[in-house]
Amino acid sequence: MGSYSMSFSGGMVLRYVLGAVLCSFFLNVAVASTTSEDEELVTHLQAELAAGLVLPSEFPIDASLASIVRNLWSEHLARMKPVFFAWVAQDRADPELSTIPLSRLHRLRMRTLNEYALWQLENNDAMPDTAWLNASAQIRHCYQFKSAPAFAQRMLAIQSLPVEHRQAAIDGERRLLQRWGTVRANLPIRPVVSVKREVADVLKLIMADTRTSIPAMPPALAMALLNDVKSVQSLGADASCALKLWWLKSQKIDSPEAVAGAWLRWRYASLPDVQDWYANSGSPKADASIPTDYPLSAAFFGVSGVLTLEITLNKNGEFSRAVVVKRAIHVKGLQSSQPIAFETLLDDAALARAAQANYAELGQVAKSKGEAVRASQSFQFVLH
Amino acid sequence: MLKLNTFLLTFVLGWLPLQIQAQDVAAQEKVLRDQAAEALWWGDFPELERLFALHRQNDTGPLTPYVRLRAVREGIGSVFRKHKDTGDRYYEELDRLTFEWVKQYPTSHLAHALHVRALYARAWAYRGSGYNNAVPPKAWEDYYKHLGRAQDFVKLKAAIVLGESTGIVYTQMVGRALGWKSQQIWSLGKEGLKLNPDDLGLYEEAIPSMVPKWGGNSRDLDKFVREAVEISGQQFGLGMYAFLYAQAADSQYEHELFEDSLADWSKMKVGWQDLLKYEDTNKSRNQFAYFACIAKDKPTLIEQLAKIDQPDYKGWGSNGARTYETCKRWAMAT
Repeated sequence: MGSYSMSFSGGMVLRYVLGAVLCSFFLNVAVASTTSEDEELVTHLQAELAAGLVLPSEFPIDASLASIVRNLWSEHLARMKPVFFAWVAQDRADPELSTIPLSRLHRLRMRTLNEYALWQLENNDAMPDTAWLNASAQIRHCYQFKSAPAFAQRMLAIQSLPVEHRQAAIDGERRLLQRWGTVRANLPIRPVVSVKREVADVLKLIMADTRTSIPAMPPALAMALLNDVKSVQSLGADASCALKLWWLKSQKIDSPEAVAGAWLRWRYASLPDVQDWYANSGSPKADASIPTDYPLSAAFFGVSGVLTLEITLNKNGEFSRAVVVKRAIHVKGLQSSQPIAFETLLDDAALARAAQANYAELGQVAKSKGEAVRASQSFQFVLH
Repeated sequence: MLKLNTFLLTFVLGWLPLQIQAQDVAAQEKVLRDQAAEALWWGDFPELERLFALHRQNDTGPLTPYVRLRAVREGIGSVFRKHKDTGDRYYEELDRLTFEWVKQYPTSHLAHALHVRALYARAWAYRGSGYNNAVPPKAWEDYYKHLGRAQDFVKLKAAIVLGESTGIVYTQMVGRALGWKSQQIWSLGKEGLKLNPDDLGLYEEAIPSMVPKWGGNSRDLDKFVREAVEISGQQFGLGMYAFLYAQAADSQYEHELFEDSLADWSKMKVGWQDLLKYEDTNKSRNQFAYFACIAKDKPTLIEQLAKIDQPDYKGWGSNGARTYETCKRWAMAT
């Protein structure tokens, strides 16, 4: 689980009101059809949410902030109870879900996780991006508090803000939490090149001894990535966090736009990693109905969709690079929420398909022009 | 080296109030050591600065200033000592990182000292820990190249690097690796003692170059020990005599300390008694008993063996368990 941020656009209040109305509607439906199983599910979800909102006893949050935070969580837990009932009712009413091997509880957990991701992605605009970036990008948070819940790290960032700005930041957090379970419009667009992808490219430069102004890595990263040649995907939570900081150091941040861009990429890079969840579930194998090149984790979570890639062929007409530029993702059971936490699960498979595809015609164009050419191509992933 | 470090802890603790439990101190020292290692491992320079500054404070619990300093240096050292299966890319990043810190913190002693330490580590990573004839010629080139860079850096930034004892200790290490004469290393150490008389690492670094194995001789070693006792006498009494000869035993002489060096058991014994007067631990009794045994002082050996709760083989030389058994058998023989 990750942490942080938000943007309160002009339509936020309207969206919130609509969301509240929607919740209220589902609440009434849910209350009417509450069963003991529903109660049990909601109790479970509440307990898991509460467990994720406990400040570790040794956590260095000052007393006044801790008290405010506890109130914030109490409010949030109370608010989420009817939302959870609504989710259970929606799940029960959705015929599509009968095809998913996951249990109802598991599907509901996916929704909670996605809310965590949305919480992290949206911007708490109570403070300038620079302040958030500076407060969040601290190496000590990566290693000293690596096992602290995401929200606790988020509070640590708030504590790092100037004292006079804390209350505004807390109010911003409250507004973000109030949006859990609602549909968010105008989410920031995912950057085409992820932080990890960019880092992987930089690593190639280092390994080829062609680095120029790349900052030095801390020993933990140097050992893992340069000595042991591990992939950036295989890093643990602490090293992944340090990697983001190292990446941030390499960025030229000399304008408000650059700050906003870096802060957005930071937030996307901080989303919960559902691959970990899949791995922790024992990496279940797919059944025979799943296509052989379908990512097992995507099948596990019921993810399907269409990805649009930008393909680059070199001047010889050979495939040289592909990047995902658009995702139209559907996740069974996630209902109307944008599947932020799950939307990259098909990326690698799409990139692999792109690398193997035939580009005869486009290749001819590149060869006749004698220069690299780019084209857009879509790849569909269907789950039956 | 481990046993001597442990001994050194005992030594420094000797001047602390009796109620301080050695185990607590050792545990606290370990915490500090681990914190320093972790801070460097993750590249957290402000945290390293905070930990390093602890030795300048007088009110940070039972650890003496020197133990705090040593704990931080040991933690730092653990990140630099990863030779096995570790290629130059790791050391190159440490070299770059510490130089970035030098640029970022141009007046920081620690940043500059760390860069010297990083270059020393990079050199030794090429050299390896094997015998000279196991080192390929190209590795020697790289070894001397990075040591030379370290030496040049010290010259260039002498006012900062040599402005605190840690930079001096690291420079002594570089000098030793470059084959400086023992007197040159000790002279530098004495300069460090003017800055920080508590930093026993300055004595410790001088010892290896004093023993015959590394180009020294017993006469110069004894001269050094006597001078060290004179410098530190008011603070440590004859404890320094016991400490330095114990270290010399560890570096080369082992069981032959009293045959092959000019160590005087009567003085060393007083040094141990000084230590035990202030802190009577199982560990120091073991060490005292060991030196009594190799000095063939049976009454003292018997006396100390009787006070040992349990054998601590680390206090009994390189073949500790067997040496303990042998000494015990000799003590019990009529």
